[in-house]
Amino acid sequence: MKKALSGKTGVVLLLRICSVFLTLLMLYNGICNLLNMSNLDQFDIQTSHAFAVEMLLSGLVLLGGAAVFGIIAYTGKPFSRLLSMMTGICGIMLILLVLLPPLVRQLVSGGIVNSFSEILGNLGDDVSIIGVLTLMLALVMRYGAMLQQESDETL
Amino acid sequence: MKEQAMSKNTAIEKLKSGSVGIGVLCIIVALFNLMIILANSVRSGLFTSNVFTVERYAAIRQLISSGILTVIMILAALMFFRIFKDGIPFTAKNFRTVRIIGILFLVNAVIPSVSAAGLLGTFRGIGGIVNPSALVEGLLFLFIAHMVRYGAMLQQESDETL
Repeated sequence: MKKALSGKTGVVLLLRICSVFLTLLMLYNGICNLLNMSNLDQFDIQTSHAFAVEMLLSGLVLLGGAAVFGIIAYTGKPFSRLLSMMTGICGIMLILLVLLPPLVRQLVSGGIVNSFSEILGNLGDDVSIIGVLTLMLALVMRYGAMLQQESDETL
Repeated sequence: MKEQAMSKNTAIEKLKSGSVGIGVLCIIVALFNLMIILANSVRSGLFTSNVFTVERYAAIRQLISSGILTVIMILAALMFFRIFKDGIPFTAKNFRTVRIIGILFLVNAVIPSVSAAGLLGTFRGIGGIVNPSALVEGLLFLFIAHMVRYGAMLQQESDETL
C-alpha cells in the first residue's frame, strides 16, 4: 500500500481525495460566511459595516479556495496557470481581509487617522502572513505549471 | 523551447527574490512570538499556583501555542532561505519540512488546550479542546506537502530529460 502511494499515480490519488474533502469544507464555510453577512442586528453601525466586509471577503476567499481544490480534484493536476492565478487572487483577497475592515470601520465613524494605526496593528496578524504565503504559493505553482507543461509535452 | 527556458529562469528569479523576503518576514514573526513568550513567562504566578482562572488558562495556552508557532516560523524561514539558495522549490527536503509544519499545526490544534488544562488540573470551564482553525491549517499544509512531493517528481523528470 505504502509502495503504491509513493509513485506519481499514488500521489495524484492522494491529492484528489484530499482535494474533495477540502473543497467540501471550504464550500460549507464559504457559504456560511456569506449567509452570516445578513446577521448584523447584534452590532452597532460601525462594526456592522466592517463585519459585512469581513464576512464577504472571507466568504469569497473560501469559495475561491473551494474552486481551486475542486479543479485539482477534477483534473488530478495541482499545477496550472489558471490555478496559480486563482491562488494569487485568493492571496490578495486575504491581505485585503486584513486591511479593509478597520478602514471601513473608521471611515463610517468619520475618522481616517485611527484606521492606519489599526491596520498597522493588524499587519502582524495570522491572516496577513497567510496572505503573503499564499502569494508565494502562487509563484511556486506557476513554476510547477511550467514543469507540468514540460512533462506533458515530453510524454 | 528557448522562450520556455527564458520564462522558467524568470520564474526562478522571482521565486528567489520572493523567498528571501518571506524568509526574513518569518524570522521577524518568530522573534515577535519569542517576545510574547518572554512577556508571558515573566507574568507573575503563571505556573506557580494551580488555581484555575480563565485568564491563567488563556495565558498558558497562548504561551504553548506561541512556542509551537515560533518553531513553525523558524522551519519556514529555513525552507525559504533554502529555496533562495537553490532556486528550486520542489525538493525532498522541502517536502519533509512542509510535512513537519503541517504536523506541528495539527499539534497546535490540540496540545495547548490539553496541556494548559493539565497544568491547572481541570478540564472544566475551558470550552472546546480542539482549535478548528489550526486543524484546517494543518490539513492545508499536509496537502501542500504532497503538492511539493508531486512537484519534486516533475522536477526530477525535467532534470532527467535535460
